[in-house]
Amino acid sequence: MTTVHLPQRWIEQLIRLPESGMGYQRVDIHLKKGKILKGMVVLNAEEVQAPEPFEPSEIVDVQLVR
Amino acid sequence: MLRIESYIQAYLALEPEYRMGFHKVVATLNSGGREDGMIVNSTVFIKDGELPWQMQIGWEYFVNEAAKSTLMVTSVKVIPREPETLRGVREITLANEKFRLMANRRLAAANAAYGSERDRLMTETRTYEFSAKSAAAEDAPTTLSLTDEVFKRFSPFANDRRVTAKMGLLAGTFATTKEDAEANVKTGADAVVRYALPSSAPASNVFTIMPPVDTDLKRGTTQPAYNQVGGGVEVIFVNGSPDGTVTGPAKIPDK
Repeated sequence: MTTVHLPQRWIEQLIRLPESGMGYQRVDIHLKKGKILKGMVVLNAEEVQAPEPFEPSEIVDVQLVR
Repeated sequence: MLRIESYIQAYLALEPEYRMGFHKVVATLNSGGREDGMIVNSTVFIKDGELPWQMQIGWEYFVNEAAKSTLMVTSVKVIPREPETLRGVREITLANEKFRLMANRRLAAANAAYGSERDRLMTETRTYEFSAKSAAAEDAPTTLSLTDEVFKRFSPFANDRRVTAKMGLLAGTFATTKEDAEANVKTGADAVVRYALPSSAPASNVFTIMPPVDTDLKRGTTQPAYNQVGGGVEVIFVNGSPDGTVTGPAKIPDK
């Protein structure tokens, strides 16, 4: 598991959305070239706990999931 | 003192404690007998009035000694804590009761129906029964905060982004009741277990929230997740909490 820090743009998007539990949100992260990282945990709207590293600039969308 | 079956341990992990660290139960033994008593740490049964000296030596020794008995607990009936002793738990009981009533109504209707209608009603019955057994805050109806009600929020981050610059809470922020926090969480590691947090980093920063009366809330029980048992009271501030209602963070020990 690796930690990836989200760019400010995505932090601002996430803090407008509800939490999934105390201190975290579960999200799907859409990357360039169509890859989707499903069900990622984001701590404090800023730290993605990802199974493998990825480049934050590759993110094209972040969507909250239940 | 007796050991208990592993499936009872798993069951107890989902049941609210009677007091911190134990469940009050009526136990059925493999001999067929029944005993009133308590199960300590979801692991060892002690019958009423028994004060085993082995507990003084250490937990591991105590558990090993209990395992030596040929008697064991094969089923339990959990005695619920008196609702008036914990406000947060009372609210959850009420939420669960609603689902239980709905399940009973659907079952009665199903028993009077035939064919596909009966199948549909039975499916709904099972759904409500499941909700009655495990109502997470997310699935709960919106309720209102009471006068002078206090909540706590645990975070590994001192700069918790759900707390606004003007010391309010953003909409959709999770917390717990003061009662649940004070009774069950002494360290940041305790908070990780009780609120099933995904990161093992100790949630040692504690924020206190004192919302105005009639703040929109959802109340429920933390469901097991991320290899943590959960079981804590969880509260969602549906529309957040106004400026000036949050203080902290206070720091508690990590472990």
